[in-house]
Amino acid sequence: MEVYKRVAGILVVAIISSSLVFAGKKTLVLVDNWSLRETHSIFFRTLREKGYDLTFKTADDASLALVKYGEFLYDNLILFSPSVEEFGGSVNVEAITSFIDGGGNVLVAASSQVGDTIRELATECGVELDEEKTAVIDHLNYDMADQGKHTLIVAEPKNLLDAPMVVGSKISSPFLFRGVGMVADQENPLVLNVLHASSTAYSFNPDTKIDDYPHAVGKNTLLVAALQARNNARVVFVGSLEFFSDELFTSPVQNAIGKQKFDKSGNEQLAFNLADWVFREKGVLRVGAVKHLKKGESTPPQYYTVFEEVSYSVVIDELKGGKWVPFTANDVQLEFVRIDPFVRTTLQPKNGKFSTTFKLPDVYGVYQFRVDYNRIGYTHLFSTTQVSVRPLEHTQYERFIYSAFPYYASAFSMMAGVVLFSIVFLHFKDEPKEKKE
Amino acid sequence: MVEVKVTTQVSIENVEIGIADKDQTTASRTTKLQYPKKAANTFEADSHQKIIMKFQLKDKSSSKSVSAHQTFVKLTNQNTNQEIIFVAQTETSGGYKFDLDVGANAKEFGQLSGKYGMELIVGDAVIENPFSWPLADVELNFADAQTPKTKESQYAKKPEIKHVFREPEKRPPSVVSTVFTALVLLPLAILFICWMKIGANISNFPMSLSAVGFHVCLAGIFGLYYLYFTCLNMFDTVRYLGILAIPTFLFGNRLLSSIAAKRKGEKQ
Repeated sequence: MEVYKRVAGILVVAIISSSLVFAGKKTLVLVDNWSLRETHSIFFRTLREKGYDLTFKTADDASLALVKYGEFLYDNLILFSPSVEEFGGSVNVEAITSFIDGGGNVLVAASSQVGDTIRELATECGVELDEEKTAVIDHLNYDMADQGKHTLIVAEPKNLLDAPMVVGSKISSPFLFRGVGMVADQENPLVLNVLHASSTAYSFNPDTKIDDYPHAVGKNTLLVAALQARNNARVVFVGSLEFFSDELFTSPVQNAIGKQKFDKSGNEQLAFNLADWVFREKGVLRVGAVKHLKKGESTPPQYYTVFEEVSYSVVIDELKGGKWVPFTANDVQLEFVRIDPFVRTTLQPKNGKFSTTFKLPDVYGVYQFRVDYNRIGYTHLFSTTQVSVRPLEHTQYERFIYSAFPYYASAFSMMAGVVLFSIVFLHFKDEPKEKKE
Repeated sequence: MVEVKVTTQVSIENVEIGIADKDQTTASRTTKLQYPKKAANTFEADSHQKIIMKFQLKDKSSSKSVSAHQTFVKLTNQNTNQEIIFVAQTETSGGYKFDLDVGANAKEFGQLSGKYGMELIVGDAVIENPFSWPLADVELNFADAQTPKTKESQYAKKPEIKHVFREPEKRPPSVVSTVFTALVLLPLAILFICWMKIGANISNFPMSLSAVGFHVCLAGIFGLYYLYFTCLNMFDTVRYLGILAIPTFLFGNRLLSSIAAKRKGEKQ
């Protein structure tokens, strides 16, 4: 009995400490069946090693909940349950979209057995999944291990989005993919085409004749799509659940037509790069101290006056390996905005501090210093500081304009005249008059 | 269930490509093509015409016509690299036909006239030799052609803006101001000359504090006006003026009353 108590005590301590360590990494994994934990063990094990607190549940578990007492129970959600028709508990598409609206990150894997629920969620996020039983087919880029339908396709790393922050860099091996094709909503500017198929690919049911135009053809066929919402929540859709499996992580790649062979597919590398991105382990920026000063002074003035030289600086940090480090970039821009930007200039970086000096415009009004940094893969950085710019005071204008000298001369000669005339008028001694007398 | 699939080698035969008018039903002049050669000349089609291509797929060993899952025609814009893919339809005769109404499909092409590379992609799970054959170049001309729009990426660095300061107004030549300055100073000069002629003097100047004080204060007031013009603001000026006004008033009062008293004495 004593031993049990002790063990229980240790367990409680362990749970508390682990929840402290994993703050911000609480992740719910929804699966179709438990065997997925075995078939995808590398992915989950590595996530655990990276410090994620994974909670596995089946997608139709009646106790599912994302929110409790108005607070989100998890930071991240992994949906590895493509065929789910209806989630259990209080989870549904609406709950997941509000989870995203609340800043939660979601990683979704689909497959050829994708159900309407996942498709609906994808549509909410600007990604259109093809119908059930369809698959991405590529008769010119399929793997040697394909089972005869040419649906285990080989995607080249050159088809990746040119955004190292999202997909990582230096992936040389092609990716193996077996699953459903996606199309990005053209109207949605936030969807990123992370990985597209080659131009010979198409998405259709491999067992039926093509009688109408396929949902996705050629390079429009997306294999991996990503979305960073305006609240910086991130969502990644991967058309293939098998993409994350141990089998495809470790298997060699050989294009059946091209014959070029790679010992290991790029799946593992890409999967973890995507996971790092989608769970906001990288590409996260924050604004630190913002300073603006009149040139040569040390405290910000109450207001500025037109034509003044102003220096502006902002500190930007980037999250790297769980720590905030100074951000480096050469393309951070400052706008000086009064409805429209009057000045837009590039900030000079120095150890995470971005600064510049510029001359205020000759128009007075209420302005904003605005840094609006929006780059692929990074969170949207937005900082505004409002200042007022006044017109010149009457003493600050040019005092002596040569063209106006007649006016000055007339005024001052009049003043001098009054002074002199008053002296002469008051103290004049009429001598000749006396002589006459 | 075990699926048994017999894979085959296919050959593509009787490939014909041609341009026909939309309203004409009769096929016009067609060009025969041989896989894997590319057509020597560029085909041209405008929005009133159609591109028609026919081909047959045959089993290499048995020479029977076969069908393929994927028979796509890909048109790639040579400038923008945009790909537009169409599906070639099977005909009842066993062959394939690709019929592109240029005008009706203008939207697919984004109304972009120009040179397009035409490629035929044939593939199937049972075909051992799928291929992607660049067979010809076509020059498409759309009715209301548009130039490719380079959409500004929301993630790109924006162009820099330099504020353009207003140009100062043009000023009159300095000669004009010099002449007029001289002209307005002339009355003062004339005053001096006339005074000299009539023999103005200040011999009656009493060496009293009030006389000196009054004139100094009066000059001081004008000096203050000058400072107001150059550097002081209105509130400071009014304050200094208030301070100066008191001695000016007192001195002025005493000076004038002493002068009046003097004159009275002289008269008497």
